[in-house]
Formats: sequence, C-alpha cells, structure tokens
Amino acid sequence: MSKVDFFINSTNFIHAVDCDVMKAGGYHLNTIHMKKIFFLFVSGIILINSHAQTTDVIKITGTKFPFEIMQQWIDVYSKTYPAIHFELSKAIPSDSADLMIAAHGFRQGELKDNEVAIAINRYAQLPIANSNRSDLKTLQQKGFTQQDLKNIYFNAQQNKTDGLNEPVTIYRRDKNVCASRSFSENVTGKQLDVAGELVNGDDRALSNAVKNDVNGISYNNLGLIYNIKTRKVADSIAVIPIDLNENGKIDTDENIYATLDNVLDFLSTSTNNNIPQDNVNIVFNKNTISKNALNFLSWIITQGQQYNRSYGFLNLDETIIQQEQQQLIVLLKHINELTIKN
Amino acid sequence: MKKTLIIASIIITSVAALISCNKLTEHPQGSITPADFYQTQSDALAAVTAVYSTLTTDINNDFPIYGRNLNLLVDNPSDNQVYSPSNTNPDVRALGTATYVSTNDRVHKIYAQLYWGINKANVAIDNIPTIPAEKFVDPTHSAANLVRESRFIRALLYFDLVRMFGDVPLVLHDQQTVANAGTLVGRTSKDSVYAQIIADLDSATALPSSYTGANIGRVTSGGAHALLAKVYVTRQQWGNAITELKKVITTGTAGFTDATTGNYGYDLFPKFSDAFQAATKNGKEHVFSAQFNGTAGGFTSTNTLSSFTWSNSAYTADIPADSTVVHIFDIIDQRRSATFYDSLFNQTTGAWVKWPFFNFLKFVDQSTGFTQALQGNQGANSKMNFPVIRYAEVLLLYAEALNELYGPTPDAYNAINIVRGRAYNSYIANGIYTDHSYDLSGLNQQSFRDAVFLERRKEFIQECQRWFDLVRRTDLGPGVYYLNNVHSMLGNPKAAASLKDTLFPIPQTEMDLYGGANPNFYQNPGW
Repeated sequence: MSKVDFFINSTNFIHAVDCDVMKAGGYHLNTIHMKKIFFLFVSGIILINSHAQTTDVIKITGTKFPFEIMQQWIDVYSKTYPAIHFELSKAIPSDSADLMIAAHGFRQGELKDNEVAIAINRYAQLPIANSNRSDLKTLQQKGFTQQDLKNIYFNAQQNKTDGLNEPVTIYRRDKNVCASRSFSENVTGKQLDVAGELVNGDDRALSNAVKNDVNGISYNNLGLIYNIKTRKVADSIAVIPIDLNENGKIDTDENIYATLDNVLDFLSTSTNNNIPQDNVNIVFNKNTISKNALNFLSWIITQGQQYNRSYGFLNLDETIIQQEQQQLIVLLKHINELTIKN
Repeated sequence: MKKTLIIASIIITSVAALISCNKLTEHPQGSITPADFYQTQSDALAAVTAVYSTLTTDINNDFPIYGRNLNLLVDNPSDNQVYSPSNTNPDVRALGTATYVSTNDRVHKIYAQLYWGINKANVAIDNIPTIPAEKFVDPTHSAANLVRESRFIRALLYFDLVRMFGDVPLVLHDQQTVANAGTLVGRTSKDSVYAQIIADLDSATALPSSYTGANIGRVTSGGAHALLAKVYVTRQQWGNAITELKKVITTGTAGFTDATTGNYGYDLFPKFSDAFQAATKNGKEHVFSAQFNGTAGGFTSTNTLSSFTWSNSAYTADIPADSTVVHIFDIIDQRRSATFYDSLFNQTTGAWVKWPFFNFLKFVDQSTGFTQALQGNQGANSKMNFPVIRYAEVLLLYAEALNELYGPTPDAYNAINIVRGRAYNSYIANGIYTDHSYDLSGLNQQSFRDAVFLERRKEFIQECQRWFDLVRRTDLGPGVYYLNNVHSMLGNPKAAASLKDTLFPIPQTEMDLYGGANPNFYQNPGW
C-alpha cells in the first residue's frame, strides 16, 4: 500500500485510539491542573447561567501539537456560534472527551465499533539537526534518502550515512505514538520505535533536545520546526533536506525549506511522497456524539481549512473533504432520526 | 430605428394578443387603438393579467424574467453560480467569467424584457382610468386597484433595471405611436427613477391586504410595503426602511422589544423547502411571487432554473460556482440539503448515483416525491412559483436596517436569529424556535453587517439576490465588497471582474439607435 493509499484509507478504519495523552488512567492532576479545572468548572456554571438554553460543552483532548490550531478554530467558531462552548485540555480524561485528536492513520480493526475517525487536516514531518553541527553544510547538500532515514532513525547499529561525520545523538519520544508512530509508518511502513535517546514530554521536547545538543538529530512536524510567526526555521535548529529524487544530492528544486510557506507550497502541489505526511484525525464515539460537535467538525474540514497554513498544516484534499463530510452527514441524519423518534 | 421597430412590434403584438382573447369581432383590427380597446372591467383585468404575465413569459418564448433570465444576470456574475460544463452558449458563459460585453445577448434580453413589462404596465396605467366607473362591478378589481397593481409591477421592473443599469430611460406612458417612441430617448438619473419607484410602490400600499380564490397571488399592500422597504434599504434610507418593515412584520412576533404592526399573517415555514415547492405556494412566507402554473411548458416555468433533462452524464444549465458555495452551510443547516443535491436516482438500477459535484435542488419540483423528482425529466411542467420577496427577507432587511441605524440592537439580533432558528431546524411559529445554540450575539456593527450578508447569501441562493447584494454594499468603498468576493473564488474564474462590472452595460443595440448619435444616451463607465 502506498503512502497515499494509506492516507486515504486510514480515515475509514475502525480502531482503538492509542495516544499518550489519552492514557488518562495514569494522568497526574497537579495543582495547576486542579486550579484550571476549578476555573473551568466555575466559568462553566457562569456560562450555563447566562445561556440558559445551552449546556452543551464540546470537550476536546488528544495529541498536543495541533492544540494551537484547534484553539484558533474554536476562537473563530465561537464568534460565529457564541452559544456553543468548548473545553480544550490535555487534562480531560479520554473517556469523557467528545473529540480526541490523533495525528496518525488507523489500521483496520484499530478503532472500536463505536468509534469513528474523521480527518481534519494534514501535517508533514522533517528531519532536524542542531544548527551548529560542523558537518551541517555537507549534510544539507546531500540530504537524506529514504534508506538514510531508515538507517539513521531505526537502526541503532547503522545510524550513519555519508556526510554525517560528527557524532550523532538521535532523540525520540518516550512513546511510539501519534506523530512518532506516523513517522515510523511513513519511513518504514511499520510501527517501529525510533532507535535513540528517550525524551520525556510532547513533540516540542524533541526540538528542545536537538537545540540543546550540538550532536542532536531528530524529526518533528512543520509547526514545531518553523517559527509560525517569522515563517523561518526556529533558532538553533536546521532542517536536513529529503533527497526527493534519490540521486544522492539536494538539487535546486529539492531545496524547498527556506520558509514554512516554501515547504507548504511544495507539499500542496507535489505528488512526491518521500516527505512523511499524515492526516490529523478526530476520533469520537458515534453513539454519543452531539449534532453540535458534528457540525463543528464539518466546519473545520470546510471553512476551518483556511487557518491551516498559518499554523504549518496542510489542507485536506477536496475528495477527502467530500468523503468526510458525507460521513458526518450520515451520522447527523442518524441523530435527527433518533430525536424524532424520541 | 431598431428600438422604434421593437417598440412598435411590442405594441402591435400585445394589442393583438389582447384582442384575440376578447373583442376581436367588435373591433376590426384596422381601426384598433388601445384607447378604443378599454371598455369594460374585464378588459382592464385582462390588461393587468398581461402585466403580470411579463414576469413569467417571454415574447419570443425565451426564458422569462423570473423563470431564468434574471437569475442568469444576477447569480452567474456573482460568487454563487456558474454555467455548467454542458452549457455552450457563449453569452451565458461570459456572464460566469466576467468577460461579457455590451453586445451580450442575455444583457440585451433582460433589458428588453423589463421594458416590455414596463410598457404593458404603462398601457394599463394610462388606459384603465378611461373606462367609465360604472363598468367596475366587481369591487375586488376596482380601477384604482388595477392601476396600483400595475404600478407595483412597473416599480419592481424599474427596480431591477436601475440596479442593473443605473440611469435608465424613465418611460411612464404608453408609447402609442411610432412617432412618440421615436423621439430621442435619454437616460434619467437613477435618483429620479427611484423617486418614481417609491411613488408607484406608495400607491400600491393601498391595495387589499389579502385575496381569496383565483385572486391569490396578486400584489397585496404587504407586498408593496415590503418591496418599498427593500428599495429604501438599497438606497440606504434606513429609517424609512424600518418604518415600512414594521408594518409588514407580524404583530406579536416573539422576541421583538419594539412592537411591529403587520396584520398580514406572514410567518416562516418551519421547513425551508416549503418556501419553494408547489404544494405550499402562496403560503404564509410568500410576500410576493411570480406565479407559474406549470401548464405553459418548460420555458415558462421555474424548471429551467434547476432541471432540464437529466441523466447521469448530462448536466443542468447552471451549477454552484464551486464547492465552497456548499461549504458555507453548516451540515445541520436545513438550507444546505434543500438547496443542493449531489446524487441522482437511477430508475433502472434503483440506486442513487453520486454526481461529480453539487447541483441546485431549490427549484426542482418535488410534487411527485423526492426520489421521483431526482430521477430526471420532472421539470418540464414545474408548478413552482418564484419568490420575488418572502418573509425571511423581510426579517433580514429589518436586521440590516436596524444595525445600520443603531448598531446590533436586540431586535436586530432577534430578526436574524429567527431566520437562523428556522435554518437550524427548531422553528415553530410567530418567531418562536427552541434551539438557541446557533443564535448570533456579541457582534459589532461591522461584523453584524457581515453576518447579515452571509445569511442573505445562504438564504437566497438562486433567488436573484447575490449580485445585487455584492454591488449595493458600499461600506468598504464602491465595488470593493463585490470585487473582494468574486476575486476570492476558487481558481479565480472571475479574475476579469473590475469596477465597471458593478453595473451592466447598456445593450449595444440601444447605444446604436439613431446611428449611435443620440446625445442623450451614453454608456456606463468603463464599458
């Protein structure tokens, strides 16, 4: 199955969500979180009182890195629909969340029978290194082929390649989840652990580890590699280009990394699959989902797509939008039928 | 010369048509004049019926004004609609790409149709008062009322004309002779045209508030107040608009703090598609509609707006401009599923077949049922009316006018939220709806204005509103709202649109009259 096939099919499969933040059973509620929850609780009461007709709050949790764009969507949507309320927090236990963000595709059988996954946008990942590496220039002129990616990230014994002359420390997430799982599936076609040093925390921690270690090499999504305000690569980080045509060097037309927009422009128009990409999905329980939450998802995959670029995400293809929209409409009709029967 | 011939032919044709229906044996054709013709109440009634018919028929069996032709001019140049891949008419296609020129056949057609209707109205207005008063035995159709109805239609047609072309010749009397019609015509300032429109509509506010039986569908005083309000909104005379709208909005409607006095019983249908379907025509939401009865064939019906002959490979005439037109609708907004369809029913296999893209559903006659309607060949005798102004628009005009004058007041919110309450499926009646999850609140004047225009766009797809809305809004600068919107369409199909496109060109045939040497006649800027 090609990457594109997997990308298209992944949203249809049913499975169990397996992201770090969704392991709520072990989540530790520290004081700050308790305060936040108390604040949300109190503000919730105020909101319920001021909007007597509406008590519907859409609770969202899951993979952290899309939180920023999710908050943007919530902010814009809330202006249009001020009576719809949201909670977006990692502190929400997975079993009480309405919508769970998962940044990887789903294999057949992974989702439970009552779960549905809807793609909401796309993201790409790139290899990164510390910008002070003495062999960086050579490395950037050569780039990484697909075999290099396999060797460097997934084979502890062979994580060397031509041009990589200085010592290397590969950093990886402590769990093979979401973006890391997607990176593995894109590069190897399997769910393998990256071979390297464990980093505690979310995807942001990978970038931080590389920033703090001149030998550090890792991978991350565009929104955490580039500064989304300046559109330039973040301080102390360098992108290692992907050798798209596998000819052992980075040609001019492969050097697409100067700004975030250059990368996004390339990915939006190119059919080359060698840069790891995946959908961000929302997983929900089709038996308990509200019509307001379905409508919000529908809004994200249509009007909400215009905010993707500024946060380093890619728009869904039109065919995927139509397909996901149809899924949402079928679910909505089901809810409406239940409402009428009741 | 061409124009004089056209006008002469219109007069001859229309008089001949009336004669053929009524008094042929009593009035030999050789000596007929309109003044001789008008003798009885039924003559007067026939003349006014002929005025109404200009909305729904065409002298050459082309698309009538409210069948499809106005839609072509007002929706295809907007960001809502475009010709379908199977439409090969270069004049229609040019409207969809902002590349039309002053010789465009559709532009000429609408100009001629509007004046054809105006001429018929002028004939009625001039001649009905000459009929002796004692001839008017049926009080429903007094001479005064028949003239008022004609003045309403004349105002409606001039309102379309002035919005499309700007300054236009203001012809208010029957051009009885070729000599009269042949005098050098000039363009009257749009202010004077609007003054006449307002005077005509003012007179029509004295019409009955309702009708029964076969007279249902005639212009009412409510229709006159509503159209007058729309004219005032277009002129940005907000106070006058509010005064008129309060006379139309049903008294006791829930949620308004400032009492309204409408006694017409207007209300929204809970089901949006009822505003269009034949079974519910001339219902509580319909303030004034072009009346199609479905017996005169495809071209004199609303069928051409949606249906033609369908198959899984043939396209309808015009389609949504792109998928974003569909995506502006929430999936829980009932207007989405009432306005578009994306599947056809295959009679042979009994299966629904996905269409490559969305099509318009709003004017598909579903009298025989939804599945039956979506298996093709159902449109030829569509009995659906075309709503010229309906109560949802009255409410949205009220929201707009209040916001412009005072900012987003509670009543402005109430007016737009009632329309949204219906869209979001919980409308009961009299302004009451149960699900307030989708109410607007917390907007400033600018964002409320944006919300009103977006709501109008969603509410009135295919209803000859969008281009008028795009060009009438001037808060961002003349033409800026129009250009911002058409230039942000997917693939920029209207890249050629410029400021000149905020008015249509005066048809070249009119410019060429008198060898193009009429000093009173000039083209619109940029054309």
